[in-house]
Amino acid sequence: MAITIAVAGARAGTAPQQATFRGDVQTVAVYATVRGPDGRLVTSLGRDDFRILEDGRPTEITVFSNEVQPITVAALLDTSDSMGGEIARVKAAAGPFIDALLPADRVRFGTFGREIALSPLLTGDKAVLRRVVREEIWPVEHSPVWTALEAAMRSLEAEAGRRVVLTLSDGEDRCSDRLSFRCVSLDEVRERAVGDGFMVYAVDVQGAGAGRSLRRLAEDTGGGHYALRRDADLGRAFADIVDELHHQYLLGFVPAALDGREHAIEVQVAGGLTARARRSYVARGRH
Amino acid sequence: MRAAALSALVAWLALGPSPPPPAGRSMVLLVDATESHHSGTPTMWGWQSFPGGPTRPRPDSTVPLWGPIREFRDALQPGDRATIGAVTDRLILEPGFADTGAQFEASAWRLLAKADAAVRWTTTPLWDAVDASITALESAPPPRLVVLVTDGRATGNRLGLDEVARHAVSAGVSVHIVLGLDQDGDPAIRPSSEARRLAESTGGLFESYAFVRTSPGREIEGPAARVRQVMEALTGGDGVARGHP
Repeated sequence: MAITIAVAGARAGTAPQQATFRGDVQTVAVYATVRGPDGRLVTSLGRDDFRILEDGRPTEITVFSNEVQPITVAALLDTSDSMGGEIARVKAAAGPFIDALLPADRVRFGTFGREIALSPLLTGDKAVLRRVVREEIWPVEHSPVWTALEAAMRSLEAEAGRRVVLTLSDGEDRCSDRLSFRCVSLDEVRERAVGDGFMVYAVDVQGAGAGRSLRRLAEDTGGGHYALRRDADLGRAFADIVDELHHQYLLGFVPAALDGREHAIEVQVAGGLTARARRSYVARGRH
Repeated sequence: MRAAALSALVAWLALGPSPPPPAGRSMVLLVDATESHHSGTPTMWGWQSFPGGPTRPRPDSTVPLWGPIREFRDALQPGDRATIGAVTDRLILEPGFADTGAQFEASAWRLLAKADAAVRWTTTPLWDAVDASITALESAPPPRLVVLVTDGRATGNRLGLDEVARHAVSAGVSVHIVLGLDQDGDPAIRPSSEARRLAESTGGLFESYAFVRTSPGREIEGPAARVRQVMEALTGGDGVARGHP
């Protein structure tokens, strides 16, 4: 989706480069994570260190910011029976995630199983978020991963800026016609995520089945995929994701044509660094 | 000044003293009608075969809720005012208060028909529903109380349990909770502690029963029997209806 970009916040310790505004010009937002050879985040690059290729052809970077961008996250916790023994640990892991949020960030927690239960509260109030985690996470049956991801995106569709869906799951999609909602397919989730510019992050707890699909979805949308052992430090993984999101670069370019089609994007950086960003966008006007 | 006092005395003599507050209690029976509560989990399977259901046509999927409703209805005392609400993806609350068991039963059937048509495989904003019930009771005469029948799984709430408890205390409403426990569940995350906290902090009773798959009698009698216990405790051996045990 092409959007008009707004930028807020400042990262300490760097010389921030403010994003520019282009009035009514449709701009494609690309959030890029840059890491060095040692895997550490690289946070001090400038506009000239980046190159964006659209369908293989270089395009002008019209918007750039290395300031902290607020995040809007729907965090989905798999509470299905396959995760049943882990739920106390999952709840505990939400603590470091909440601690790592900045004042402008907003989060909505949700769980999925036989029912997809998204909190109505999209908030940066940490006390409220802790209360939701403490009081509203229960084990249930089934594991409709794709349907839950779609519901989470739908819950953020009216929000501006960077929209992230984070899921912690053992990765196995188990939806059933016996449930009261329509089961959504991976293809539908991908179409929505790419088309509407959502980033998907997946913490895959020793999963099977959907693990590879989750990884591909995360890569396509510029998000991240963390495959962890069941006994891994989930809280650390959550906090790392928040840290990564806070240290992404905002790049923007004007699409060659608003033809309604999906176009490939590649973000390149110099100096042996690697950039991770969405791999495509759909060239359509603002809704 | 003297003239004003005299005028007030004349008015008092003409009208008589203010009428005493009506006897009886103001009550909301709140039943959790989400699928996770009454049929979707083992917690409430037993309700499906409850033998004391009514004989007239009824919405099938909410029939399991009839046992607690019947016990509550039978425990109403002269002077009591009662209404009923169902928690689905939202609170459905019957307007007004019934003064008799027959009126209450009619309200219950209207409610169950609405609940049956509502979305029930979704969030369960249990605490928001309790809060709205407290609000509905605020203008009713004391003592005021809510009896909640649930499995305690609360999701999608705008309000936290502590906020609801504070509202209940400030409004003079005691919240009594009958909670079904799934014994197969993880003890670390059973909802009983949250529900008990709400009940006890408002001066209410907390009763729970464990679903036991191998004991059909307990499956059937569990929630209804616990509602009966709560209502008996609120009536007392002297037959006086109370808001608190």
